[in-house]
Amino acid sequence: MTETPMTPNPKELYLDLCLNFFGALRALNLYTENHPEASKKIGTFYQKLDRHLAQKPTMTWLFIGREAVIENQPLPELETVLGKILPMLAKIKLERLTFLQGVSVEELTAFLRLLLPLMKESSGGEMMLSRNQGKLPHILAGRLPLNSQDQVTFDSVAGALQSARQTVLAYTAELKQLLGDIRGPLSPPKVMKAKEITEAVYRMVQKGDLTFKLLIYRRSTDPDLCIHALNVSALSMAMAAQVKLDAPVIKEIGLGALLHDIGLSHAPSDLFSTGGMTLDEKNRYWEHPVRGAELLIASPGMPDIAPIIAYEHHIAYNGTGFPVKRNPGAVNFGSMITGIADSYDNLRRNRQDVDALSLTEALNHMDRKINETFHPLLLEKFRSMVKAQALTQ
Amino acid sequence: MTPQDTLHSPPLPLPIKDFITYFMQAIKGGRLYSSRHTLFKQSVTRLRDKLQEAVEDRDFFFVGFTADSLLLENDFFPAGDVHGRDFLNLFHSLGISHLAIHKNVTIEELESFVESLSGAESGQGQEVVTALQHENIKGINLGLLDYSVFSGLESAVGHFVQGREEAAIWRQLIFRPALAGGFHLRPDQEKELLRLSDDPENLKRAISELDRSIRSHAKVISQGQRGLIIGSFLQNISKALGRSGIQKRKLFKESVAAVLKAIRQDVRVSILGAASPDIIEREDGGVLHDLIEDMPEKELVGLLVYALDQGGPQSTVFNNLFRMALARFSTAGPLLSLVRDQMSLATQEHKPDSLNAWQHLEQLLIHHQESEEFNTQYRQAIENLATSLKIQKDMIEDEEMDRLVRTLAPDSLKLLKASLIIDLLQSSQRGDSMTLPLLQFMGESVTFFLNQGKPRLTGNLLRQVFLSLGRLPQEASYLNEVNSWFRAEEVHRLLKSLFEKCRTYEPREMSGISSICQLFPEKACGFLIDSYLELRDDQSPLSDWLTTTLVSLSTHLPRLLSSRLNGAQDTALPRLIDLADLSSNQQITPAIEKLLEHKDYDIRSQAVGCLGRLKSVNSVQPLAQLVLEKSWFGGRKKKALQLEALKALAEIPAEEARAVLQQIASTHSGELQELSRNLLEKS
Repeated sequence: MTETPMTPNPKELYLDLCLNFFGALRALNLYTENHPEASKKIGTFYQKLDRHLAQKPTMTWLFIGREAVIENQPLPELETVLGKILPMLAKIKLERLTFLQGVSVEELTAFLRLLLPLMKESSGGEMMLSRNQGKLPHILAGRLPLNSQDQVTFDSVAGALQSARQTVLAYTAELKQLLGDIRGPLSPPKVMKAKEITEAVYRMVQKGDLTFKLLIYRRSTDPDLCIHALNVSALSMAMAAQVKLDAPVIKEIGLGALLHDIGLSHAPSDLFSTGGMTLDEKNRYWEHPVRGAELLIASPGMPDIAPIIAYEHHIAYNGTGFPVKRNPGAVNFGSMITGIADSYDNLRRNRQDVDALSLTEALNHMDRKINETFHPLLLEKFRSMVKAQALTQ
Repeated sequence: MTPQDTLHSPPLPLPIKDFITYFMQAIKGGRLYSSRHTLFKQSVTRLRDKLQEAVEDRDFFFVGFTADSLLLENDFFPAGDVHGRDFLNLFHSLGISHLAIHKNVTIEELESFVESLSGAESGQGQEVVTALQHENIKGINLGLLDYSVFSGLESAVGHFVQGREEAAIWRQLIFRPALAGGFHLRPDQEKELLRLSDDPENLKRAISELDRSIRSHAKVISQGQRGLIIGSFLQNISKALGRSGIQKRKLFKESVAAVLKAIRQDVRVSILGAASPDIIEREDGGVLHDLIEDMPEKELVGLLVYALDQGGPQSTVFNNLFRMALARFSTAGPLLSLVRDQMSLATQEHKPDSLNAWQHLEQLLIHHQESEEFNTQYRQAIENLATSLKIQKDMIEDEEMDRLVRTLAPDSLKLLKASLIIDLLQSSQRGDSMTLPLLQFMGESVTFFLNQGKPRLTGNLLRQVFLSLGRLPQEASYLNEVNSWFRAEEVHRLLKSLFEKCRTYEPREMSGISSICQLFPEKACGFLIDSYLELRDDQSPLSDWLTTTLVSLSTHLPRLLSSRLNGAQDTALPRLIDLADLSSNQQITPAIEKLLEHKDYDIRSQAVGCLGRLKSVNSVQPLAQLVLEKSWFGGRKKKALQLEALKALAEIPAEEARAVLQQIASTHSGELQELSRNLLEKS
């Protein structure tokens, strides 16, 4: 009789994985990257993770306060073992960690190297994680897209957790895969995937899910660009629905809004860079509407409005902004809607050295640019929509 | 004092030294922190305070970067301490030759400038300048001369000022960007400058000497850079003469005009195009602005078309001249009329080569005119909407929402997508590899609109394509792609529909049709020839337009025109020969030569004259045969035709033609001999 190896239960597996992860991090703290001990620890963790990812496409870890949850499995045991580490993660706002199929040992090592100095000096850690996300296509790290303000009870947050993981995190991960490594126009399967994500977000908008409301109106301050893209898409579709556009048009606007910053995906910033924006990064930022429009216009199956939105979302109502447009009056309705949603979401998320504004502050800020940056009617409609939703919470 | 003497020169004045120290600290801040960080903002605020101290009572703080020293207001100074050397090295590494900051520069402008400089890598001076333009920063001016060029220029200026009194002031006049700040001249310095400015010969000598010196010391300098330096030099002299009174300034302007008249056109255009309208809009425009203002109109449009032809629509020289010309006339209308006159002249003079550039300029002016009108209307619409919303909100709101929703209709989106492609084609940020795919997508759009029965819209889009192609490198693949969009019948159908809608045949109405003809020359020629044959009034605007367009397409005419000549009815021949004449294309001569045997004398006579004007050496033989042919039955018409043929031979610049004339002059008698002798004497 052959002996069947004992399969550990999931909880044991997750505990073991988590301890191995922090073991690898500690080894990297003590030794250089090429030291046999560090290589061994990283290798061990990688093998275990890889084995798991061979079965499932993703693995998500959540760190909420002093609690760790892996794949929906709470692990209270870790509170004692990792008592000092979990608060450090909280300081750098590392609340979720998703590993995707395809992660390599090099990418894992790069992530650990990025994490290590942040554990010692947490200031700006959230931004560092976000800025370097472009170089980590298979490891998504950042905040939970939830903002546990006083108005939302812990219960409602906990209740929304499962839903949030299934929706936004899943879409963020999918979007990350979609936008990762963009070298040219999107292939038909990628266009299809973007349409699927838009469709799902559209359904959330229609249903008015708590998750959606939490994300949009009490939104997370997470600087992650993929979460930003989802938010802008959701907000744009909500607004398009508010002005009673037809469903197919709403979804096309939603798709354009989802991909409005695709030109930025072309140019991730340097890993571990900490200073101000380089001139090349500045240039790439100015060029992103052009780059995005080029990519989308050449993507088969993309609706006509998507490249228009990508090109025009930084052009103001009065024709200023960038890129310089020949005839500013021709800025499309869909672009105006996306421009408003984009500005709002940018004001409501943390950016380098700028904290997110509150809902009221953001709306007041936008009010000051009425008739210049924003169309007066559209801004008014947006303001009413956001306020109405906020009051229903 | 030369830069080499800086070892013995006094150290940097304290306010300048402080400014440099704080400048480098702000740069370090920019490298460590983002532009929104408090520490960065504090460092730039301190820098601005130091700038105010350094600038004193001047408008600008100016510093030029030579090999190992800084050129300040009056002289060269050693870079000094570690900050000074870092300061110099920073600008050397970027390839920036000078920095001028206006005293009223805003803190936001300064922050943005420091951020760009901090983030720039070696050799990215041009990118920093582009960043300033992107962020609309007008209070800071950077000079971009490659360091090797700038070193050469430094030597050239050193050579130029040798033996001149007041070398320092000459250096300032040459090195400083045009009109950046005032010049404080002592009476003796002013006198020396007046000696130069009052006398065209003196000025011409000085400019030639400076230019010669620049060319010999800075070997890789471009013509544009030479123009910029000399232009800047002239602008600075006019600024320095500001206090000497209107009369002196007028004398100087006349001297400069005389000097520019005497130099080659390419150099003259580079110098005149060196004056940036941005500076001119801000303050005294200087002598170059005065010259443009007073220049005869014909000369001004000549300059414009030359700059366009040589440098293309995106060149700095053309853009500067274009904006200054528009500023002079306030609107594009008068310039359009002038261009139209010049096009008619070029048509009459059979100059198809120059016509293409004139047509391009015409299209740019029409485009500018339309954009201005559109933007004015749009700004007005914004104001109207804001006001109306306050008064009668509901109705206006509904109307505006309806308007906005209409922009989402499929056809509107198709049009917006086509406009987007045009924007992308004209964007300097476009990836080169995208050009051909974008043209392919544009082809799909224009085909869609033509098939939808929207010729005017199609024509408008094609006009934008024509302007976009003017900005692209002239690659065969692009032209082939565009040419593949429509078959000849489709081009004819499009042109026919557009012609039917024409009322005045004025440039603006014809601009779409002109573009189609330029984009599809081979396919448009048949339609144009047919239209020309049907013309009823030779003096009409339509006739002018057709003639000009056909002449501009002369390189594409021979094959089609030859085939028309071969199969034409007699009544059509005079106009077809006219066209052959206008085209000035020698490839058409075989078809004309065949008409020498036509039964109608008038046709034969017209063909003879045409062959003379086409000047092909191949026509010598048939013309000679006509002259030398002896016939017992030759009447008055025969003789007249032979005399015409002699005149035609005289127009052909070839030895063979001359030999025939000599033969007639020596062997014949009577009228033929006499005319041959006269013609030989005249040649």
